Order: sequence, then C-alpha cells, then structure tokens
Amino acid sequence: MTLFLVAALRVLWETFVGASLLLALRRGGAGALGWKDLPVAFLLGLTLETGLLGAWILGGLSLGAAMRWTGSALTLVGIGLMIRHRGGLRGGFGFPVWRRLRWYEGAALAILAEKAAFGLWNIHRLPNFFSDAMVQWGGRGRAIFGGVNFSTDPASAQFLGHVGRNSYPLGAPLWEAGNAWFAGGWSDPAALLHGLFFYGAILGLVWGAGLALTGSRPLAAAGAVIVAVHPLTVWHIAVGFNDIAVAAFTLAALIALVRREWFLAGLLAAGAAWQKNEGLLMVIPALAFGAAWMGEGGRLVNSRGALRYLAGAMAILPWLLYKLAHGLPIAGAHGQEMVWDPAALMSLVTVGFLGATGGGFWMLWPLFLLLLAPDFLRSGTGRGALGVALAMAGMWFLLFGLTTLSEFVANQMTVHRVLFQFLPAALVILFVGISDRGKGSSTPGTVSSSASGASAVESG
Amino acid sequence: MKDRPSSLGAAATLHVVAFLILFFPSGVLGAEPVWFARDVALAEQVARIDFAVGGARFHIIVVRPDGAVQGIEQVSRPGESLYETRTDGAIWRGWAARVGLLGAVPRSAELVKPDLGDEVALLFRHNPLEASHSNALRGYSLFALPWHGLLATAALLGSILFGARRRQGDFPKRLLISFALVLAAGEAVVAHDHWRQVALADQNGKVAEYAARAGYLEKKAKGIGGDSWGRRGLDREYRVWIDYHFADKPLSADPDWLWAADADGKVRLKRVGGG
Repeated sequence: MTLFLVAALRVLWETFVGASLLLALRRGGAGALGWKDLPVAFLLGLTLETGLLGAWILGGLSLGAAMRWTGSALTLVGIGLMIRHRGGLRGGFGFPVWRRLRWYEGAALAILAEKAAFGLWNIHRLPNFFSDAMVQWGGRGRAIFGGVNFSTDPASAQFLGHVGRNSYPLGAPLWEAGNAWFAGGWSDPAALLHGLFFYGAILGLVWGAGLALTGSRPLAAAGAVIVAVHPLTVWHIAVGFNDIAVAAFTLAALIALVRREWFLAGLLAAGAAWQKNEGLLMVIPALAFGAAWMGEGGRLVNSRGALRYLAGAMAILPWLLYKLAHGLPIAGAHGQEMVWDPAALMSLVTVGFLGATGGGFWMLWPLFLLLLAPDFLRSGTGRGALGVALAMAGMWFLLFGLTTLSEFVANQMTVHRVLFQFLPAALVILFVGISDRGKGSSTPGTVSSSASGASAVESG
Repeated sequence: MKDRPSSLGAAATLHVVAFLILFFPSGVLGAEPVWFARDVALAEQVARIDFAVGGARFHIIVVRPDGAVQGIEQVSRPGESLYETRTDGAIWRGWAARVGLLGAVPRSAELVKPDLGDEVALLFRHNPLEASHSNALRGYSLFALPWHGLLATAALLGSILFGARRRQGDFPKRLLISFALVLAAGEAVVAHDHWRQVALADQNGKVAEYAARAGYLEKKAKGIGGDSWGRRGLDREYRVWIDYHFADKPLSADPDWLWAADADGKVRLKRVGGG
C-alpha cells in the first residue's frame, strides 16, 4: 500500500513539475494549461526527473542523494516557473467534471475503469515474471535501489547493471528504483506499477485529442475504448515491460506535432528514447518525417518546424554521448543485417493481422487510412500525420521483415510489442484524418497552433 | 458538437446485444475473476521457495482446471502432456462448463503437494486470464475466435451498413465508433480470458513462483526434445528469475545459482561460484 501511495504522490509531483515546464514553454499565455495537458505534464515531469536522476547516478551519487537533490531542485524550479508564468493558469483549467456525462461516456468510463481496476489487481497479486521485465527494467531498477550489482565503471562486469543490456536507457529502472526508495523497500509491484500510470496518461491523451480534433464526444469516447480494450493494452498495464511508456510518449509527441508545438514534440520523442531504444530508432525519425511534411501556406515542406522538433529531441543527446564515450552501442545488437526471406515477410503479415497484436485493430487501420487519404492530403497537419503513419508502419515492416529482427517474428516476441507502442498514436492519426474531413479546401495547418490547452479544430 | 448520438441508436442497440451475449458467458460479470482469485489464493497459501536448496530435480505437474493432478513429468522429456493439455479442449470449453467448474476449483495446497522427495516441481495449470504475449495470445485475436469473431464481424458490418445508409457524411465517424464497440465486445473478452499459470514448487510442494507464461515455457519444455528453444532456454528462465530476485543483494555475498541440465537431460540446480 505504501508503494502505491508514494507512487501516486510522485506522479502528482511530476505532473506539477511538468506543468510548470509546459507553462514556460508556452510562455504562460492565458489558458496555457488545461486538463488535457495533464498527461503531457506527467510525461514531461517524469522525463525531467529521471533524466536528472540519471545524471546524478551516472556521476557517482547514491540513489538516496540523487533523489534528494533532484526532488529539491525540481520543486524549486517548478515553483519558480509556476509563479513566473502564473498568468497561464488564469483562464480556468477547463476541467470538465461539472459537465453532465452522456450515457456513452459513462459506459466508456466504466470500461476504462474496469481495465484499470483489473490491472491494479494484477499488479497487486501477480509477481514480476516476464524476462524483460525482470532483466531489463525491474532487475536493473532493483540493483540501483540496492546500491549493488550496478556500476558506473565501464571495466566492471556490472556496468550499468548486472543483468540486461547496458545499452538500454535508464528511464524505467530509475523510476522503479525511486519508488522503492520512497516506499522503503523493493517489492514486485515496484517493477510493475508504471504501466498503470502510463495507461491513464494514454487514455487521457486519446480522449482529449479526440475531443480537440473531432469535436465529437462519442468519437472521443470511442477512441479511448478502442485503445483501452486492446488485449495488449490490458496486458501491459501490469506486465512490467516498458512498451506502454513508449506508447504514451509517442502519442504525446504526435499530439504535440499536430498542435504544431514542435519543440515540445521533440522533447516528448526524446522521452520515448529515454524509455526504450525503439523511441530512438523509430519514434524520433518517424515524427521528424511527419513534421517535415507539415508545411503551411501552400508549402509542402515544414523545415523550420522539423528543425525545432529535432532541437527538442536533442534532449536525448547527453545519454547518447555517454554511451558513445563508454563504448556502448547506440541501440541493441539486433537488426543490423538485412535478410531477404519471403517466408518471413508472409509470416510478418500473418503475425501482424491475425496474431497477438490484436489483429482486429490492425486489419481495419489501413482501411481507415485509405478511406481518409483524401482528407489527410487536404492539410499540412494531415499530410504530416499520414507521414508518421507510413513511416512507422514502413519501419515496422522493414525492421521485422527485412532484417535479422525477423527472428522475433519467428518466436513471436518483440514484434507484437513494437506494434503496440504505436497503437494509441495510430488511432489519433485517424482522428486527424477525420478532423480534416469535409474541409474542402487545401488550406493546410488547420489545427490550432494556439498555446491554449483547449485547442480546437478550426473549420477549414 | 458535431455528433448526433441519437442517430447511433440502431447500431448501438446491435452492439449492446452483441456485447451482452459476449460478456455474460465470458465471465466479466463474475465467473472468471472469481476463478482467478481462487487460483491466486491457492498459490499464496504456500510459501515461496528458498533457492538455497541444492541438487534439486524438476518435474512438471499438470493440474487440470478441476484441480486434479493430471500428470507428473520430468522436464527432461519432451513435455507432450503440457502441449496436450493446452489443446485438450479445456481452453474452449463452454461457459456453462466454466461455471460448473467453479465448485471444483482446488481449494488447498494439498493438490500441489505430491510426494516428490527432494525434487523441485514445476507446476503447470490453467489460469483463466490471458497473459502470455507470445503463444498464449496467438490465435486468440478477435477474428480468430469462431463465435466472438462471427458476432463481432456481424455487428461491425451491420453498423457500417447503418452508417452508410443513414448518414453518408459521418461514415468514418460511425465506422470508428462501431469499431470501438466491436472491440469492446470481443477483444476485451479475449484479454481477460485464459491466463494460465506456471508455478515452481519446492521439495515440500510449496509454490515458489507462479506466472502466466505458460505458452512461453511450454514451447521451451516441448523443445527440450530437440527444437531450438531447448534446454538452455529453460535454464535461462530460471537464471533470470534468480538474477532479478537477488538484484538488490551483493552477489559476492550471496551464492550465485545456476539452473542447468545435466547429461541425461534432467534439470538440476547447481551452485556456481559465490561464497
């Protein structure tokens, strides 16, 4: 119980820190922060906190000292930014609790809550049992928490953890270790709990984006249900993997791109890379590709926005430089050789559409893309979103169909999880297409770029 | 607001009917979670394993959904009984059978306390909640389920037809909403269905570890007879378990354990290095 309580309080604090940063990025204009921004604030705060924690620990500080320094510093910074940009809090928070729920919203919320409760139950009652959860995330987190079996000496066999790949980023292990430190001991839920918070962030983002992009309450609720009931979503709440974190950051970064908040999108994409290497290898490039096609004013290319996005994504650079300086591979050892195997490609199609990826979604998603293709092409935002979709899908096929990563198709492991990382963003891309539907003009950039937390679709 | 919720009536009704048909028998309203709770309670009646036990040999115990021990088998053999159990029809038994089984769910640790001497047992049992990301989920997706898929597809097509006929302009929206309802009715059931459980038990039959990774281990156990997963993969799983559980303790002070298979294929716990 202590762990659950401290984790919840920590998430609130991270949301506060992230919200202060959001206010600063948006320069505190009236209504700069709304309820739809809370998940983004949480993700930003978490990235900031674990990034700073990582810097201290890689610099040789103990976990306890790093937690104290990080907590103190970010609290002061957060308060300072909040005071300085308090104007952004004026305009009301726009929290819609006073609204009367429609019947379908109540039904959707019940489904979402049932999944969350089911996940919480699993976190509480099941042990940490999957390999990656034990090795890559929980094991390294536990080692950091214990102050043993983790070394910052490149010559040590325990360099960045006695288990797992030391080229994997430390975002998740640090968060797990921090919770155990607060709770005063390690328990299996410390290695599993993060999934529940990312689940909440994802659904808040999907619901908020649905409302902002389509203006349709049924559609927003439907989108949240689609993501929530996907088998891998339910499973990832409690499984201890970190793919759900990548899913949350990818989604948040995409939404920031659609809102034309380029630097913020880059920061969030860097957050994805700090959670898992797919963020570096797939999310950052795919979103850069999308950003580049979001031109306005008759221009196809959006070079300035893309550069701002990349500037934000540079937040991951210190970690990459650290890896380079210590001889660590930028990513894992997989997928570095091209292979040509038609059987593997066919197998990939089978796995993607009929397998554990939750084929119902992935069979219909391309259909929606085709259906909405003319609408996507009407605006820069639509073209960019379509670009992200094609880039992500293309990379998935390329990596798992044409490189040695195809071994993960044969044993049906990572291939599902990587597709899951893209699931919520793929859904919101459909929202973008629907939002552009019926605009009938070629006016690009139809989504408000205002800093307002209640961004809305402008009629084209 | 651009939406017209009232215009969704026909499609929504169709979905609600499908939803209820799918959810009632599948246990969201009671049967499966209760069963799951009992499984967990059973597992927690016994203590965790103490890994400071040497010279142990593994057995596989297959426990049927009704709690009976179906078979005890050494890991060194191919493990067909695991595979057979997976496909013996228990997974797809009807809802009435499930409800009927509730009264027969094992209630005490005796069922997992066969007389194994100093041998360590690997216990395998069905758990009704889906978990394994690789094999257990394979084939359970919406359209792979005969009756789930049939109803869900019918509901989806019905909605598309309603949507196309009544409001051409909102066709994508209607399709998406239909999509959500269909998935809610179908995939949610899948996600909550058929976890299975693997547990390690020590020489006293005490459960040390239980996990819903049956498909994963099952493949490896099956592979012990010769395929690529083989013995080494199984060893690795236990090594991972140990590495994680000792991660916050100095390895130099604690024994470093390795699970390995000996020449005749029997999996043994070996102590390598350490104090």
